[in-house]
Order: sequence, then structure tokens, then C-alpha cells
Amino acid sequence: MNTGHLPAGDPAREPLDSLLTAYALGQLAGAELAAAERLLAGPTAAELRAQVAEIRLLAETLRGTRETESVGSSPDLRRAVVAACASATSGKAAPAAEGRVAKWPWGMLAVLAGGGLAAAVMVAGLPALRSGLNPDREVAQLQQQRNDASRDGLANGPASRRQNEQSERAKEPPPAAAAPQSASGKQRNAAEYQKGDEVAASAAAPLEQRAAAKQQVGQGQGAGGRALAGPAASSPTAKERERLAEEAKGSSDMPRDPAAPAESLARSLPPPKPVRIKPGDDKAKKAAPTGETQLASDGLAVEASESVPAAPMIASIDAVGGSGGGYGGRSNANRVGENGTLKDQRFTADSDRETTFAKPDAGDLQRKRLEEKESLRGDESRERYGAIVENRFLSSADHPLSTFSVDVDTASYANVRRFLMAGRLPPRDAVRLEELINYFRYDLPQPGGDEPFSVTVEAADCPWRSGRTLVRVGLQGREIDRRERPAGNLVFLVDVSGSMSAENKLPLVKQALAMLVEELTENDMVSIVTYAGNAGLRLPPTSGDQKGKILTAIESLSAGGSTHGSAGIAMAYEQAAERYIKGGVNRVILATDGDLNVGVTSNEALVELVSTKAKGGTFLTVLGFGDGNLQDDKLEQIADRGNGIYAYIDGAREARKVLVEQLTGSTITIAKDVKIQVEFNPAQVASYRLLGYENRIMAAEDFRNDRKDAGDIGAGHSVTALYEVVTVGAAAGEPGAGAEPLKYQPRPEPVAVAKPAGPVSTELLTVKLRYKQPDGDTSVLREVPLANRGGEFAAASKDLRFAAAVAAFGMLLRGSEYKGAATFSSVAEIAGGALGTDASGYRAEFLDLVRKAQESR
Amino acid sequence: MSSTSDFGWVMEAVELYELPLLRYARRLLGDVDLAADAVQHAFVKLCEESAGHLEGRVAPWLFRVCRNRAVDHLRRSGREQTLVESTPDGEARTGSPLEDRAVGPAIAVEQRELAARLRELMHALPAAQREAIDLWCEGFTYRQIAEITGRQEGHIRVLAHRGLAALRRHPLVQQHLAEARPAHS
Repeated sequence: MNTGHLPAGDPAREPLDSLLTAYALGQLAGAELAAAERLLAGPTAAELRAQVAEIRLLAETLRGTRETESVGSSPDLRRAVVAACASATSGKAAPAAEGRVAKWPWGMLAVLAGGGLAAAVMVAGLPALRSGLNPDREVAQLQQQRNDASRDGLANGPASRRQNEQSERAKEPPPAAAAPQSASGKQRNAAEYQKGDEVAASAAAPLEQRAAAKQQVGQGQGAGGRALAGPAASSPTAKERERLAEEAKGSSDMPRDPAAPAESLARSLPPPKPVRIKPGDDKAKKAAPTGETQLASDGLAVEASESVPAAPMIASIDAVGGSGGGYGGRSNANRVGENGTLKDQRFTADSDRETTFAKPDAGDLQRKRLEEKESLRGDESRERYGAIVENRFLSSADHPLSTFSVDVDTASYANVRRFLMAGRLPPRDAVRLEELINYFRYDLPQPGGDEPFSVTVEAADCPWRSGRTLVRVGLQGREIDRRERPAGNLVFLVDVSGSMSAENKLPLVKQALAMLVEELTENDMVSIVTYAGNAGLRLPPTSGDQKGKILTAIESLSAGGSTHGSAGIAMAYEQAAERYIKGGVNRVILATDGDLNVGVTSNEALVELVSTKAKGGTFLTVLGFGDGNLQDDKLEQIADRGNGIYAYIDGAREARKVLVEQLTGSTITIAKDVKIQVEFNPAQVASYRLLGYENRIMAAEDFRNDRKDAGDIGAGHSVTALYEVVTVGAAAGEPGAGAEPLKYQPRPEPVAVAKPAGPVSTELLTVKLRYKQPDGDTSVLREVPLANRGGEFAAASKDLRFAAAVAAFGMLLRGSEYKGAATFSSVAEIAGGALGTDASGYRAEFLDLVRKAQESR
Repeated sequence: MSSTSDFGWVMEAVELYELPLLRYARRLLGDVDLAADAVQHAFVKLCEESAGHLEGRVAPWLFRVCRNRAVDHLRRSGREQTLVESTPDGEARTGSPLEDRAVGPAIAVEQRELAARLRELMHALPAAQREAIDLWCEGFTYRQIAEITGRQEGHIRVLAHRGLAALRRHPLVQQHLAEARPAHS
């Protein structure tokens, strides 16, 4: 069958087809529903009707299959949840959030292990459960909830639809409870419960530890002891220890396959006897007119009524203790393990997130916390990041011109992502705001006429400091269809030194290059140069349609030896010069971890070499790989000076983004030496701060100097710069805001500065751009004024809002003094409301990162 | 502050959503233990929320938290692309995964086999499409699916459509549908 691509043939029909599918799935309402019905009622719509019917048939059939899947409910889950609920309750009451999960359950376990006096424990150990418990209120609340649930079935998702079957099932004992366990009514000794705990503990523990716990269960004696490592384990009396040992022995008869799922373990062990045991509470039953006999909440109500035997009660306390032990074990284990990651902080961090952000002094608190955790930031000692001194507020009277070079690099984002995904905060200087912001695609207009890029200027209230204004300058490079791109002369310069052998380096390089090769045609020329010890030509210039040959050469690359960076770079440029394509794309693509440790290794010398070579019209793309010794500062400098782009590749996905999705962008330069100069109107703007671009700042006079090199823009690239601006009006109400006053200068009134020029302009600023055509030598000037300070932040464009969220995120990660009221929660909220179409999912991924950062605090 | 009455609604949620969540998580993760962990994580997190705060949104909230956990795991194990990478372009470029499946000899697909067949073919769909369809099967509206997955509702509409349309176009499914069609058409 030759349907080719998946999306049903005709993309133009997709909106209609999607509408019909939505109709088939019952997802339409209002005008759309009416429209779909009209459409389907048409005399010629037989085909559409068939389509809807078939889609519906398939969907309903699929929906039917879900019931046949065997997933069993697990008592472990219930115990873990009860434990967590109890902890959450007690944790909220306790002022110290740290360690809240582990604290009181340990005490209870000790009591249990020591005496097993059930009743005493019940009374002493459950104050949190008992206090404020009012059965009547509880029942009323439950009833309310149920009514709600049945009323707004839709809002509650699958709830109400499934309620009937649920209540059916609830009448039967759950699988675990049905297992042959007559012990349920009997008094059980502490050791028994402790053994049960293991299951609870392993259920509560994260996966890594669950596997370990499973093994422990299989280790006989270890079962009783090690799983309870902690205060409780050391406290049992001699008698208890005997019993523990015996228990462990006895239980060794049971199935002990360490690979067996936790569920079967749970079944083979004495019943957890948790919360949902009792048929009990009459009041609760009456309160449930639907005839549902047994929701777990009833169990809790029953416990309060004290009408059940002691054993089950212990069991549920026990479950609490056991799971608490699980958590305790988890944090201890994590503290030592996993090379200092922050995983163990997650739970405490989550708990106080809201209060932290709600309070006015939250910023300080948060910073303090960040500082405390500083030692846990990414500490790959061999990674190097150039220090960044953040731009400060400048007075527009003293510094009316803000000049910088564009930067389309995105490496910092991918690098930051690597840290966050590993559960660590990135080193401060690994966070470059402009690279974070520019990682994302923005919905900027395509340039008109022959312009290489469009310019958009927009303003709105600043989200992280009220009274301030946020100005966004957006440049959008012209898109070039991949099929129309000019011929390419690409030289892959691959670092194959020993340090590249890691899985996320050379293997990923190969994968990335292979992706790029797929896109090439017979117009393109590819060669491969390696450097390690001696630079070598691995593939002489080869036409892009000889994919087999190129891929074989890529595949044959293997790591070994030390790196002689400069020799490789020199040879790569020679190759590029040999096959130079006039009017084509001539580019060296350097893939390395930056550990250029032989030959010319000083940054200056390398940068010098590259910038000399770049004069020959060959551009450079630097792809950074790996972690541990990433020489971030070096790579960025090399790329900057080599008329190049620096991207950090942290995975196949990023490789695809950089090399395939942006193929045209990272290989075709549409404007070079692009400089931005913003002139602020002192009559309107008191002071301003450029966010990011710290290492791209230029002297004002270099703006017009065509011999001064600056950044390039590739096809489809966009560049966004943000300014935080203090308007004159806002400054009046904000004494001391923004720029530090000059000590020795008389400070003229801002208005006086503007007046001599005639009527005071109401414009805030003018954006001026200079750029050259890719093969040109003289620059062109464009100017775009910004007429007003915009309105409410919420009313600003999605792109401004999203960029602001990303900037705020960067400032938070940097612990910047300029972050104002920004918090990870507010970042998530703003970004979440500004996802736009986000076809590639990058913005949604950003939300994930914010969450990770929040958890890593 | 919270009292023990909080437990009630949480345990009720466990009753209602444990199995749907397990199914969902297992499809995302392909492993029952991993799925159980993600589900448990979601419920443990739920304990820290207040009932009022989540009123009427418990199910989407649980699925979202569970999904986040699963995505984290996939990322850590380097399989994140399966879920995240679902650009329309990406799908187009990589061609149809369904096409790659050997169709085999033209065996008549019996009625009862269609379900199994569809379930199997689902695995070949891009993860984002599969997820949208799965969540619909669990009874969520497009809007709720959007909330769970952090995508736009319009995107969900397209994802669900593309997935179902691809299934419908598959030769084996076509064969079945052709048999089910009235003779005259």
C-alpha cells in the first residue's frame, strides 16, 4: 500500500477530518456540533458518514479493549497512600517540613517492635488521625462528594461512568484480601507486621529501591532485619529478634523469585490489612444511598468508631510506619547515592512550595535555599563555564544607546536541560538567558520583500516587577524551504579522542550526522575529517547522494587517542576551501566535547585560528556533546569568532532539532554581522536593563563599524531580546529604582535632555539594526520605533509572555538579583498559558523543566 | 487546615482511578512495576493537595501527575522521544510506522480479532497519538486530555484524528471494515 505518509494524504483536509473525528468521538458542542451535523446531513455526504461511522467503530472497539487488559488493584498502593496522607496531615501540623515523612512513624515503629501493645499504640500513635475527627461531618462530606461526583460526571472524568461497575466490584473482596489469609481477625505479632511492612516499604520506595527491596525479601534473614534498617531495627528485644528470625525462616518457603512482581509478593505475604477491611460503619452505609458498600473512606470512619478488633488497626498504623520507613530509607539512600543528585529533596521541596512562593520574603528564602544547595549544583569539575556578570540597569540619560550583537545559539538551554533532567540545578554560569529564550520558535511574521528578516517590537507590563515595562525585540529570519536550499559543501570535523567514547558523545555524533546525511542531495558535498593525535581525512569530498558511502564512513568512526584540535580544524578548513561552492553553503561542522587537549589549546589561539579561517567565507557550526568535561566557554567563543553557531546536543531529539529541523538555519546564513542598537528616549525611559547577551555587548560606536564582527542569522532563525524598562513615570513613584546614580555628574532632569530637540517624543525607544548580506561587506540600516509601553502583561502576545517566562526561569536558575517577584510557580503559570500551538512540544517540555527545577531546589 | 476527612476523598480516588491510571501508565512505560510506581506517586502527591483545590478536576490532575512521573522516567532512560517527539513534521518524515508492519497474507480478519489487531497496531502509532486515543478511551474529553498532556485542545483533536485515521487506513483494518460495510457501497 502506497499511502506514503501517515497524516491522511491531504493536509488541507485535516481540519475537516479532525472535526469529523471529534464528532465521532462525541467531542463537539455548540456551533461546531451543528456544523458537523449539517455537513453530515448533506445528500453527498455518504462518504463522510461512512468515515464517521468507521472511526467511531474503531474508537469504541479500542475503548472496549481496555477492560481486557489485566491490571490488578494493589493493596500496597492503598497502604502507601494512607501512609502519605497521614504524613501529609502530620507534616502540615509540624512547622519543620524537612523529614516530616519519616519522623513520627519511626517512633511508632519503635513502640511496636518493643511491645506490640496494640491498644496503646492506637491511642498514642494516632493523634493526628483522631484529632478533629467527626464521624458525622465526615459522612456528610462524603455524601456531598459522591453527589458531586455523580452530578458532574463529565468533569470527574471516567469516574461516574465507571461508578456502577466499581460498586459492583467493591462488593467482592479485593484479590489480595481474598487470598488465603485467615490471619485477618487474629492478633498478630509485631514481626508479622514488620514483614508486611517490607512490602509496604518496597511499594512506597522509588523503583530503584524497589528492586533492591525485592531482593531483600528473597534473602531470608535479611527480610526481617534489613528492610527495617533504621531506629526500629535496632530496638527489638532479644525475644523479638528471635521471632523475627523465625518469621524470616518461615517466610522463606514462599515464592521468592526476585523478579516476581510486587503484586504476587503482596499476595503471598500476610495480608496488609489496611484501611479497607471492614464492612463496618452503618452511618457511612446509610450515607451512601447508591448502595456502594465499601469505599476505603468508610474504613477510616470505622477506625474512628473504635468498633473493630485491634489487629487491623495496628495493621494500618503499621502500614504507616512501614511506608514511612520506606521514605526514610529512600532519603538516606539517596543522600549518599547518585553522585549528589537532589532526588531526595523532592518530597520536602514539594511540600513547602506554595508557602514559599506566596510570602513576600519568599525570594530571599528561595535564594537562601538555592545557596544552600549550591554545593549540589552540577559539579562536574572539569566542565568550564565563562563567568557571566549580569547586565545592570543603565540610566537612559547617561547611556541612551544599548548595542549588542545577535546570538542565535541555543546550547545553554540544552545544557541546562541536561542538568535538570538529572535532578540537579545547572551551574549558574551555564545559564545564558538569551540562549534559553532563543531556543524556542516564536510566531513572528516572515519578512516582506527582499528583507532577510522581519523586526517586531512589543511592550507590556513586566510580570516580575510591577510598574516596570518589558520590551521585546524579535527578529525573524526568512524561512527557506529545505528543498530550495542552495548546494552545500559540508565538512564534518569529528573529535574522536578517547574522551569521546562515552555513549552520549561519539555514538550520538554518529547518529546526529547520519540524520543530517539523510537530508542531503546530489548537490551537496560532504567530507569527514577526524582529529585525535593526528588529524585524518576519513572521507574525501563525496556527493550527498552517495549516502551509503557517507554513512559507512560515519559508522567507522571510533574513539581513541588524544585531541589535537587545531590541526583538525586547519585540515577541515582546507577541505572546505578545496570544494568551495560559490553562492552555496560552505560550512565546517565541528562535533566535540571541547576537550581539545593537544596542540593549540589556549582559547585565544584557537579562536584566532578559527576567526582567520572564517574570513575565507566558510562558516562554522560547533556541536557540543557529552558531560563531565564540556568546555562550554571555549566552544562558544570558537563558534562566535568563526561566524558560527554553537549548539549543545544532549540527545537524539536535540540532534534532530539542530541538524534536521533547522538544517537550513544551521547551514544557510541569510544575514551576517547582525547588530542591534536600541536608542532609548530619556523623556520616556528612566533606565533599562538588557536581559542576557552579556557576552555580546558592543561599544556604541562599533554599531556603524562594518569591520566589527557580529552574530549571524540563519534561515528560519529567530532572535529575541528582552529589556526591562523603568519608564519616567514609574521611576518617579519608585525612588532609587534602576540605575545607580552617578556620583560625580550633575543629574539633569530627563525632560531637559529631550526638550532642546523640540516637541517631546512619546516614543519609548527606537530599535536600529545593521546587517550585511551573507556575501556583502557593507551593512544596511533598519529602524523600528516603539510608540508606547503596551498594556497589561496578560494581554500581551503569547510569544512575549512565553519569552518572559523563559527569561524569569533563567534568572531564577541563576539566582539573579533582578528576578523580582518571579517564582518557578509563576513561570509555570505564565508559560502554561502561552504554549501556543507548540507543534514540536518544546514549550510543553519547558514546563517539565520548570517542574524539575522546582523539585531540585 | 486539613483533617483526617481528607483521607476519604483520596481513598475514593484510589478506588475510582487506580486501574485506569495503571493501564495508562503501563502503556506509557511498558512495564507494570514502573507503572505502579508512577501511579503511586500520583496518589501520594494527591494526599498533599486539598480536596477543595482540586474539586472536579481530580481525574485529570492524577493523570497529569502520573504522566509527568512517567515522562521523567522515560527521559532518564533515554526514551523520551517516544512521548515528546511527535511533531507533525517528524511523523511525516519518518514515514508511517504502520506501513513498516508486515501485512502478511490476506487473512480475513474476524470480528473478534479486530480489537486485538487494533490494540496491536496502536503500538505502531506515534506515542502522542496513541496517548490521546488512550485517554479518550479512559473517558476524558479533549479538553481534559489537553490539560493532562499539557498540549492545546486543538492539538489533541488533530492527534486523536491522525491516530484513528491511520488505523483506519491500515490494510488489515480496511479489510475488516470492507467486510462490515453494506454490500451496496
